[in-house]
Amino acid sequence: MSGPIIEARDAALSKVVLSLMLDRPAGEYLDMQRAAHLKRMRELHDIKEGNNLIGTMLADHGLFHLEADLRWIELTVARLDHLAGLVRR
Amino acid sequence: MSVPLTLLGLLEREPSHGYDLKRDYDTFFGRGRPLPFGQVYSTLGRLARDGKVVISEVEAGEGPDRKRYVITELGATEVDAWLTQPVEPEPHLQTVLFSKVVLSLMLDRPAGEYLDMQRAAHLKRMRELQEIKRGNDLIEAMLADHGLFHLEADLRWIELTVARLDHLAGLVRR
Repeated sequence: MSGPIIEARDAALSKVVLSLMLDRPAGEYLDMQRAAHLKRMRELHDIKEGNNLIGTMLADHGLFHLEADLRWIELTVARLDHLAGLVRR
Repeated sequence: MSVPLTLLGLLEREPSHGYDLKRDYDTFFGRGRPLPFGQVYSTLGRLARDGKVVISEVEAGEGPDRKRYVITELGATEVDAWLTQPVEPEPHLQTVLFSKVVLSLMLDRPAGEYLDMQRAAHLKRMRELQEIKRGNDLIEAMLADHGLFHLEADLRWIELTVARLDHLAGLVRR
């Protein structure tokens, strides 16, 4: 995986863990993250309308990775209670 | 990038010494890369200079570990803003995979062979991540799942690109 993907993952996971430590609503943060991803996916779909092969290939790459993030966000939502038990004292 | 904000967040939980901050950072945020003590103290120094933490007391003895750091209102506001902001989703339309494919085609090299090799490397890495998931550590499993989903995303893109190679070659060759 390339640097920016790992950096984004680490930033997202840090926010989730820190939210749980501070008894903040980690689920709300993940909802916001999901909304930001969906917005970006709509922009990439618009790029694909442009009918330019290179633009389409790059947009597809972005779309697949945003979908991968969304799957991970859903799995993280399902794991929040378990994770909270680990990070709270 | 997020080291200062993470340390601030740990201080939002409770005032702390540099040593305890490093321990908690390494346990929950380090991802196998421990934060050097030097970086802990230089970061705390900058946070203090910028008014985001204050040093509440200096205990008897010598050295930086005698200092106890307390977050300020300014620091707490910054943590709050950070935690309520989404991470920028895929800000850049760029990928090394794509650059290699285009350059291979331009140079009349076998782009399909490169993609086959990349696919094999991804599959190997996916098997390694599956092994890590057997380890039963939740955070490790979360990191492995993230990797697996993104490797699958690349694999989907690789398949689509194989199907588009001829069309792409027509565009990039002169």
